[in-house]
Amino acid sequence: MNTPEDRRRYAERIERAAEEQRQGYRVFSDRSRPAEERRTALHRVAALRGEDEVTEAVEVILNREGDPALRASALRTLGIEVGKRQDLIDMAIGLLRNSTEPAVVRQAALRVLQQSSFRAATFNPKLPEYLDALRTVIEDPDASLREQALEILAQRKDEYCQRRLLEGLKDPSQALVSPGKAVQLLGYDVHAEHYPLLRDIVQNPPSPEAKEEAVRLLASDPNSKELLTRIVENKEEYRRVRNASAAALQSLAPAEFEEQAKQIVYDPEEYDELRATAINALTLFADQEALDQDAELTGRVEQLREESPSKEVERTADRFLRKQRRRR
Amino acid sequence: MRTEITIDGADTAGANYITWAPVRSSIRLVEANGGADPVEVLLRNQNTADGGQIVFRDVISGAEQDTLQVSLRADGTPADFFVAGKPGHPSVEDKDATIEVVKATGQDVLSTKALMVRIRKNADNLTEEERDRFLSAFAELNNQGMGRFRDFRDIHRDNTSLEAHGRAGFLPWHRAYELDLERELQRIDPSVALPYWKFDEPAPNLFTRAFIGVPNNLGRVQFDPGNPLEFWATDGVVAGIERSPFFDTDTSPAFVISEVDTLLLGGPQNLYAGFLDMEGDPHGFAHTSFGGSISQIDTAAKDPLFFLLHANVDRLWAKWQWLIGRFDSADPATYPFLGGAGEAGATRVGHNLKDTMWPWNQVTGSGPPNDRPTTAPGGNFPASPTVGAPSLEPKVGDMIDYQGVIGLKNRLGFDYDDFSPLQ
Amino acid sequence: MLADQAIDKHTPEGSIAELVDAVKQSPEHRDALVRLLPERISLYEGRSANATVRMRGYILAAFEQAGLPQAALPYVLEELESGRDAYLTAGAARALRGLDTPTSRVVPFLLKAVENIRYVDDALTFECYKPRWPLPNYTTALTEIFRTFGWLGAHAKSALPDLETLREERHEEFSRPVRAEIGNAIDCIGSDEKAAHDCCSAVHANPSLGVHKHLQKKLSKGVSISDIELEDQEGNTLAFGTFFSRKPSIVAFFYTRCDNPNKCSLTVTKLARLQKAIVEEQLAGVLRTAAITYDPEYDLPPRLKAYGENRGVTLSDDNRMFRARTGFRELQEHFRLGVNFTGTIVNRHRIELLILDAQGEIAVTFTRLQWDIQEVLEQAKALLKRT
Repeated sequence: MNTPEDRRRYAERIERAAEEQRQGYRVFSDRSRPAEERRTALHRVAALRGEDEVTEAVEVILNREGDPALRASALRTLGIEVGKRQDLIDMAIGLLRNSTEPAVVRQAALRVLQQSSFRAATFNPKLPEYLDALRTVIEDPDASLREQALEILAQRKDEYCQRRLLEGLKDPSQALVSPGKAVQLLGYDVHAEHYPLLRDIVQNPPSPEAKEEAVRLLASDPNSKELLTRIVENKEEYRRVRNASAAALQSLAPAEFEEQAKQIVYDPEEYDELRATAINALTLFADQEALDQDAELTGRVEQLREESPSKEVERTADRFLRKQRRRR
Repeated sequence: MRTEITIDGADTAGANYITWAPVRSSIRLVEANGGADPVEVLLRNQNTADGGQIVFRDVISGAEQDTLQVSLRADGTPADFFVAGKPGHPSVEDKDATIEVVKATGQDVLSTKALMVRIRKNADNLTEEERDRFLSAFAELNNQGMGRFRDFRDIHRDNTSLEAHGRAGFLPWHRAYELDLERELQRIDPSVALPYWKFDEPAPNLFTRAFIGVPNNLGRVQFDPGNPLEFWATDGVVAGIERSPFFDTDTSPAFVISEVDTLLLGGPQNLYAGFLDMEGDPHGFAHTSFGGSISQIDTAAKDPLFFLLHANVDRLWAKWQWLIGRFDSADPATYPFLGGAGEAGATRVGHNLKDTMWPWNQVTGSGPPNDRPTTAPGGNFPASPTVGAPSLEPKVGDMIDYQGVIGLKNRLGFDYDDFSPLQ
Repeated sequence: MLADQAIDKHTPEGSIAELVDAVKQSPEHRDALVRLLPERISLYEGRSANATVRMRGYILAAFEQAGLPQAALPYVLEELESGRDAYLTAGAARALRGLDTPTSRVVPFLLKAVENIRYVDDALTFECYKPRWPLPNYTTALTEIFRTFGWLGAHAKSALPDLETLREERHEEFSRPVRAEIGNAIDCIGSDEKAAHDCCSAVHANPSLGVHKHLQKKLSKGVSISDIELEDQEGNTLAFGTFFSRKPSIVAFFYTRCDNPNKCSLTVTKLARLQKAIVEEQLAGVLRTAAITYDPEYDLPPRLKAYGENRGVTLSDDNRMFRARTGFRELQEHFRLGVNFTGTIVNRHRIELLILDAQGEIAVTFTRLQWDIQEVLEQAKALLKRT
């Protein structure tokens, strides 16, 4: 959009959109029209604002006899106003809490509330009510709502959420989510007490993903350095798990890992994904002056760039060498 | 015979980065070969087929031209002119926009000057090299949680949220925040500009393992081995990033209103106060189109995608400003709180035009009159080798005329690829 | 009674809750609860941060019913001044209502708690330990704070202007129920015609609540710490006794993974300001400063350096950030540090800053409450004068 003509055409497009919004609202607010038509019209409306529109929307949203998809769309389209008014936040919390409301309406309520939380000045006073509602929802029969509520609470390092997740890990009949997901949610808090559990999962993984997740989270635990080293060195291990261990060791023991990374680069038996990660680590974090003096390593990286069939290896080798050249 | 070009009064490599905004430059003869008569020279783009392109003006109000003829005095007196990036032709690589100076008669090349037309681009359209340069710089800034990125993480928290959310200063504050990050990235690699995630369109090239990552079934974002972000760490946790989109990132936009609908939020009178509702939609809905860190204020800045999201938020504000002509900070339609905190009609401190912004003002201490967080991570605002604004302690008002439309000295040193405010 | 039995890291949380409930019924045993508050006791070893918060919050709240002994007051004030957990803050606010007599000295702490908690308030209950949701009803930290203002009555008169500002100018920041509590507090304070006899001096003027001067040379017997190996932010290693000798030192404790910005981040930021004040007072060269991490295995030198630099800390021969490569537990014991761990990760710690004399022995400690830069400097200067 680089000429005055471009600008003029864009302004016309905006004017057309304004007219579409007005038409869309006329259709939405016409209660004689079918619900599907009214719902589609809301896409053109974009945002319901202004007192009349808000009143109309609230009536639709709170009409329990109304079409759930229409109610959900109206709530979502009211999102901007919900974030500005505590009475509308109250309405959304009420819908979220109410397990007799249709799932699609409650999903919309949760989405709109989460969006509103970014308007901190208005939302902060409502935070206790919102958290109270979320804690109720983690038991909800609707799995999607349950997981979303858990995710939100876990990010906040919520005590109740952690307590319930740990209960579920100890007693599967109490589990709210899969073990891998529970471990991940607990991992948002380095101060949680799950490190022995993570080490157990590494030894006895319920799934490869759970193992990979546990390995990633053990990057916060200095007691796990040896375990992570063994994983990186174990060529029988899942590749993604080895890569995750490498990343974890780079953080926990960077000096030691630097040596290990070099060995990985030299090892002709190693697979390319791990080589790429190792070269990446050396490029980003290793002692660059020492690397500049290491002609053998530079030669090996040049060789890999030329010979490796892996695009990742080629790309990381290229970055390694370019960085060296820039330094010279 | 040789000539020398200086961009914006500086001869440092760091200064040779331009945007769409015109920059005062000068050219002079350094070796006149003994003649006393003026020498006519032609300034032009060395390569008109590829890379960034430059336009010239003889005076600030003059028309943009692809070439410019300048008369140079034999005694080496500089002649002024203006350069700018040619809209629609940003650079792809560092210093790929070269000014070539030739004698107006003949084709003898007297000198060249390599610049970069450094523009914030749609992340979905970056070349692989542009993408990798950005990711490498970002990973270096993060340095597995030990780098300067930690300050950016610590700045955007629950207990600092009122500095930046829910009131008028939302847009200027985030513009400053993004610019601060971009300048830190440019200290690592000056060829980097912050890309933006255009969230009202599908972005299949952004949400890949080669770029911002793809989650596994647990919502743990996965990267290609060798992607610089594979070592991303925040909050003492090296486990990376958690992000679960609620939409199909290959085929769908986020759950946001369109760009056009966003630009209509200002209402028939195109007021900032109305446009500010974009904080709810599309901004808030862009955040909450995912589960994971990015969906809450306190944790959003853990995810590098946050900064691409907010680059688009800023682009939308910039585009609204361009469309309506909202660069004059003295106009309440541009920004409604014209005074400073404590004055009649003022709003919360940090959100009035004359207020300095936390954390760059380094003011701390809760409770009136300061009412600021207890710490101010990151220090003052970083300087730039290409522009002089904003100051070390930027005010809200300093973020309005980012392109220098009202005054060239207001330029903040960034532009977007899809429009040029001066058109 | 459980109070007569050893309580340690193996004691189930349920037993602690039973003890607390029992003390609420038998307030004469309230000192048993005070003994559960120091962070360093075995009870908290190996527990998660949230488990620690659960126990401590429940204990604090119990003081409302059991009565609040003076010995518990620093823990309560610490939570109000620097805490960012709604459960603990609510417990602390309730605890104040267990004081034998109200005192205006707590007013600044309650006001600070309002600022700390208003972004992170929460729905909570002390009706039982480890409640299950849905709750039949709940309270919030802000509710408890304003109820305590009301309870203080005339003793909170100094807070009236601030409370009125909250009600009139900042009412949007509070929910309707909390606004009602503010209104009630203002009414209670305004209508209380009793004379409040204690003056409104800030607690910091009273050294007994956070500042301790040590007259004894050694705090604890046992292993000498002078041989403990420290590593600084540049990777230089030296013995504790090498750095902490010949000149007095000011030492702060911290760790980079602390998630309370009012604790470690602020501590190190203030250390940077203290360093500037030392230079301004022309004491650089006669005073050292140091920050030592609680988390030596994780806080490797690049982390130490980045953390300090990002907070404006000056780093030089006399101003360093350290981890203990060996002997951190001995250091912890020697200085009786207020910290505990789950594995190697800190689960709870207090604010603590020490002034060591030229022999590396503690001369003054500042613990729990936010230390004042000028006050620290004055104490350091007094130490220099004495030696």
